[in-house]
Amino acid sequence: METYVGSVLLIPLVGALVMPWVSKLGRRAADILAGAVGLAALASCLALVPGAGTTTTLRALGATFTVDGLSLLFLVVINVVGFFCAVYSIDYIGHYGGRAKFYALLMLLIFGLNGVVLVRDLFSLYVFLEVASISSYVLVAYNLEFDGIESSLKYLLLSAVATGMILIAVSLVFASTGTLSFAELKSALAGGPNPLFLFAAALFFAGFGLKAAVVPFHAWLPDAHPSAPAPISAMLSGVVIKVAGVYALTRIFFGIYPAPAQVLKVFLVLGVASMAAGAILAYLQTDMKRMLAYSSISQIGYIMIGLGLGNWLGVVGALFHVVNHALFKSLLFLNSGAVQFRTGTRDIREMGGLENRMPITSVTSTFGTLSIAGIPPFNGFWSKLFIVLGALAAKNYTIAVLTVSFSIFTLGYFLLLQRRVFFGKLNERWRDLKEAPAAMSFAVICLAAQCLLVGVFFNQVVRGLIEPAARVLLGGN
Amino acid sequence: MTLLIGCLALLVLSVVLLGVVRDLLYASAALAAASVLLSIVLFHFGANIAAAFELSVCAGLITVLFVSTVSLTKDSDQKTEARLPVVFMVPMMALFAGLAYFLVRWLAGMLPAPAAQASALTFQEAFWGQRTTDVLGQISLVLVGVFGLLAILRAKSTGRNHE
Repeated sequence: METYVGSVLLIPLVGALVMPWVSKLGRRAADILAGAVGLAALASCLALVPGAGTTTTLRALGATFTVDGLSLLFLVVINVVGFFCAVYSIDYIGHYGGRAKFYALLMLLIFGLNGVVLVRDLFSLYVFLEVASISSYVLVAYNLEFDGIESSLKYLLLSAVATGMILIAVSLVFASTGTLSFAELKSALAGGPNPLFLFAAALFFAGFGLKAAVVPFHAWLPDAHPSAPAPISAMLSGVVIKVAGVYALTRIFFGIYPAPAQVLKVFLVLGVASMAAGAILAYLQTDMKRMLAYSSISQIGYIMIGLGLGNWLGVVGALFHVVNHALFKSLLFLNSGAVQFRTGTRDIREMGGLENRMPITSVTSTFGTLSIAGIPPFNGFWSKLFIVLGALAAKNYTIAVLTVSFSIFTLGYFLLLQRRVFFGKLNERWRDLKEAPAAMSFAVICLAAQCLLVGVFFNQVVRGLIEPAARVLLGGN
Repeated sequence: MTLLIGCLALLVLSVVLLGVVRDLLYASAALAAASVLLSIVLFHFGANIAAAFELSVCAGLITVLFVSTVSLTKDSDQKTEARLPVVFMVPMMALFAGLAYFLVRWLAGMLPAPAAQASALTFQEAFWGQRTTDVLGQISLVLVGVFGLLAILRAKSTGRNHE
């Protein structure tokens, strides 16, 4: 098992290192390497799933990396989405140029994210978070257009504020306890409430909240996600905000701080605010990718609500929604990328009737819409159901009603998006439009199939992957 | 002590400049200067790893990325944004300085004395014995910087795939 831990971490790093040399052999060689690296990292990660209930630690050359149920859940999310984004990029990234550099940065992004979930030390978490963050700043600006560069700068500046707050909190915790190890911090902080730790907790919350783009720390996301190339939008929305934000918040507030009631209330309040504000702002958009970006804020709200409920059903629902949102949101972003790739626009008002010209994109988008709206048997239904049941179990009926209401609202604005883009009369401009290229279609078909299969076999997914992660949070680590 | 006070004064000055200048390139230079000065302060207090990290990543990598990105924007792309008049800077600075003073005093009162064991470690012991994981992260950060720069400075493709 230790070998797989090392593989999942090092394969993307080695892939990035050798990419410049391999790309000299030709375009296809770079494509094959990117796909092979993604697949090998994913296979190593899936090989760890049978041992989801146990903790595996790799110690090599003085470095320590640990996998438990929670880390494994996020590793699966990172590497599944990472692999399909790499495959999608084979046909997509050509018009941007710099194929090898793009793949290398994508691999380093995956390496950084894998590192974040494998370390058990606050400062190491910060270092790997920076690896992922700096890769994503460059990837957001990859199109070298003004909007991409401007969004990248905005993302960089706000992230710098977040990392500043995180670093101050890390310093305060280290100065008062003399340790940065999660396990030792947990014992040190078990003594009871201390104003200094509460101040550090507030800084952690603001810093990682900004990374997770929860309201009111969400200002960077609606610019950064639409401007990035589609596979990077999918990585950012599907994975980065979850690992850099949600994973870090849960690891700190459930693993180190013993999930105090005040913190859970903050999770709930920010969750409801994100769910509502994100959905309403998404409804108002006419830019397809911007709408998806606001919808990500709303979906992060559901995850925060589930965690804030603090009971078994709520936490299982939240963690299941992490997996589901990664699948359907990366699918929807990749589909929006396919539409933009062919039409050259993201403006919903200029589209219409694309279903006959792009049938694969249309059908897979319908799968994504039904999943995000929580329609059975798609995966989104089960995670939202768990969150609603968690609210009912906590006798928090307002939250339950709000969650169901905004889920219906989500269905409404996504059906509107589907109708405006794919259904209705074909806009004459798109008469000669063709379906997206093979690699792009393959990636979205696989993701759409996963949205359905995870929904149909939800029991196996929950038992095999979600519950071990929930046990780490609720039983402590 | 004189070096420390001088560095702190220059640090404050560069941070003020960072907020006041209207040209992004000058702002990037001010940010780099602030990071270098902060590294010196961190070295002075014996926080060698933090200082090395601040110098390589913040002063080096981030500044280079900033300057490269800003260089790519044309003059015509720069929009004039509404700003507070400079006169408001003085009371705002005074307010933030006051808040910072009380916050630092409060934190200083709360923090225990530094553990003797931490300062007994040599740089080598700390770097190679205790923080190897971070060294791996640092190496990959440098790699990200190299690929990032190559990506930002690459020739822009003019090909269009859409119809």
